[in-house]
Amino acid sequence: MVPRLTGMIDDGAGSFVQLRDAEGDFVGEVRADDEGRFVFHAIPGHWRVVCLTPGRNRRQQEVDLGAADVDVRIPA
Amino acid sequence: MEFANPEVLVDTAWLGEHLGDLDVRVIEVDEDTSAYLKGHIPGSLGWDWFEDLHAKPRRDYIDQNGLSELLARSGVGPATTVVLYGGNNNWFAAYAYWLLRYLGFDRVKLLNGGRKRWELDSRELTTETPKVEPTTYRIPGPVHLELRAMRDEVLSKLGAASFVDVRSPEEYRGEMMAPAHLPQESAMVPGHIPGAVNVPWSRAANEDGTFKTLDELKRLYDDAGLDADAPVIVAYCRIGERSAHTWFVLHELLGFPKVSNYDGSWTEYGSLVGVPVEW
Repeated sequence: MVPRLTGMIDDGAGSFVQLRDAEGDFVGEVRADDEGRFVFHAIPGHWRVVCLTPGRNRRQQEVDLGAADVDVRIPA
Repeated sequence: MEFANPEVLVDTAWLGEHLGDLDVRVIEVDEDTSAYLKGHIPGSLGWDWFEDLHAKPRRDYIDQNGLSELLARSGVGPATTVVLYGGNNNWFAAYAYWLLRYLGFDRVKLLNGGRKRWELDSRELTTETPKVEPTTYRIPGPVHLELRAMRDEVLSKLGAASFVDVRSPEEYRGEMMAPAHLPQESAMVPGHIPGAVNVPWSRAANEDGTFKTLDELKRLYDDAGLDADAPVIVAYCRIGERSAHTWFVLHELLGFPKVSNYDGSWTEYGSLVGVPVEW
């Protein structure tokens, strides 16, 4: 099983959430739920989470993922 | 400079002005099949990529008769243009686009940027499903077998054709078995087809899901060593949907003449016994 990279985006309901690797390559995209939460299944490494929320500025956060699940918060 | 076939794309502004046109049928095809029900472009229909486009219980698509019936149920007639859109950079919409072209339906376009660009433009969504008058439409043209690569053809062309693996670098290197937002189940072994170059499908798209410019796309595939004049360029991914996006770029936008989509992709190739595999 690969670890889960989960997160919560402040005011991020319905955001388009992209996971990009250390080289910036797009690995996957999900929609945040009505509470702004999202889930990725990724291997350990350095990742970038990019949030595109209609009506808001683009947000991104760097994440280091090890063997265990990680939960991040993307501030407003 | 324009794409080789600029007419295959429409932008959100064009679609916004043509939503009421009787000869335009807008159809959403999404990886997330519940997305349509939560809200969609006004007047659009939703196709379920698995339920509507696959010939269950086999792993195959509906045939030309099946697609004709689906189009007829969707109100498509001889003069109708179908505009497809979806989420995640249009990957399943591109899959449907490729399938329509494969099965001989050519009056089809993609909404550049798909659902994401539409929503980022703060354009209207609705949960209202349009009433559609069915037609008796039948696809008149032949099936374009050259647009699809099957297993035996792939095996016969190992080392003799250009292969482009459009999965993420992590999947290409055998570190992951599926995209990062999906559970990691897939083929029996990880890796890639020997000799395949890795050009992730998503490099052809901007962050908002729209396609990159002609020059950017040319450079992307030039740098990977793909030659438009190569005998055949076979694109593959996990189940053929991301590679349909790359097929769209290579065949429709850049005008490469001989590109096929290997929709069996890694879930088939990576489960075959005795075939060569690279990591």
